[in-house]
Amino acid sequence: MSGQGTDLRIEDLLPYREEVFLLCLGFSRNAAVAEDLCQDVYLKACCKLDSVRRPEAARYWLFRLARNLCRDHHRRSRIVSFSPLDSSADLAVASNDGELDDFDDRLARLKSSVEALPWKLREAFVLRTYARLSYEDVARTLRLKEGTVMSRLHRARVAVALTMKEKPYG
Amino acid sequence: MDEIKDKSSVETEMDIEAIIQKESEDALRPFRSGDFVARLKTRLNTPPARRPFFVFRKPVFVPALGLLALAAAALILGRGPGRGNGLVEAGFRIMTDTLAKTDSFQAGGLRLPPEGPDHTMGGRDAVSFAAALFRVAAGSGTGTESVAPGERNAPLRPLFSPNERFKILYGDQVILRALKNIASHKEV
Repeated sequence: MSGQGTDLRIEDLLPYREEVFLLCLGFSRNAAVAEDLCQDVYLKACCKLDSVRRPEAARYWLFRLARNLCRDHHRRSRIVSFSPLDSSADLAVASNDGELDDFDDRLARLKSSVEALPWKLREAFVLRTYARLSYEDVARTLRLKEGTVMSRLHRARVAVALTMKEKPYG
Repeated sequence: MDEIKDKSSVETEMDIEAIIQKESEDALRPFRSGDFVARLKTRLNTPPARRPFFVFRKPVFVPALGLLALAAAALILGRGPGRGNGLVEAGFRIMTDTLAKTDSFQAGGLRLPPEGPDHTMGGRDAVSFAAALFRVAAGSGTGTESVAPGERNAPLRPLFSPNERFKILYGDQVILRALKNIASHKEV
């Protein structure tokens, strides 16, 4: 399937699937949900290939699509909250030695710190650190200036680091 | 003092990078070895008219899924502590963040982690897993079967070995909490 005005095909976008997946992982913080979202991104991209005017910028268009889908997912999940059962406390109860796994603990703290970021900072943080995009790519995806991206990223990192240091898990 | 503080901040930032790196690598491994493209093509090749988005209306869908969750609870109670919390979580996921994914319910795409069901199950896994266990609850299945990934009306295939099925990672505390959660979600 290709766009009407361009020769862009969905196959041309498949090489970016890992970046899209990581982007979804950064927003959803769950690998299985991220894979579902990643599929949805490509399904939607396939339906909207016609709207791509510049094939050379299709990559950023795809990332934007993923960002928007993740935002929608985030909004939906806020309406009906879900209480996970897999807290580290449960792991401690069930584990033989009763000790929390250090990495899991730090990961849980990181996730809650990222989740607490304002959306503008969060999207810059996720695109840069999870999807591993360059500053320029983040700027083009978010349609911002590079300086703005750097500033947001810095604020996000400081906020996450501060929260991780201050907020004990639980 | 400032130097100590700065050093600590840098260490935390490095820690963050390292955590994200490990999390990404752990998540990418199954993604790379999975059948992402094949599943995508299966979905893309389904005519839009048959693509089962929003097939069920929510008023019908929610009670049905609530029943699934209750079946889960019944299974847990029937089988004793240490079994079935994954199903309860599946029930929750069905009732909450997978409501719109009715295509998953029909397709029954299953992508359980190799070690068996656990809390990392996503929407489509949870639906499929819950459906499989629901069949057990209804007496029409063994729980060792499910539908192949991305295929509708596909033949059932072994899900777990008999010794592994319903393997649960946690204990009584989690199950009690799960039941409590079910009670607190009754407004769904």
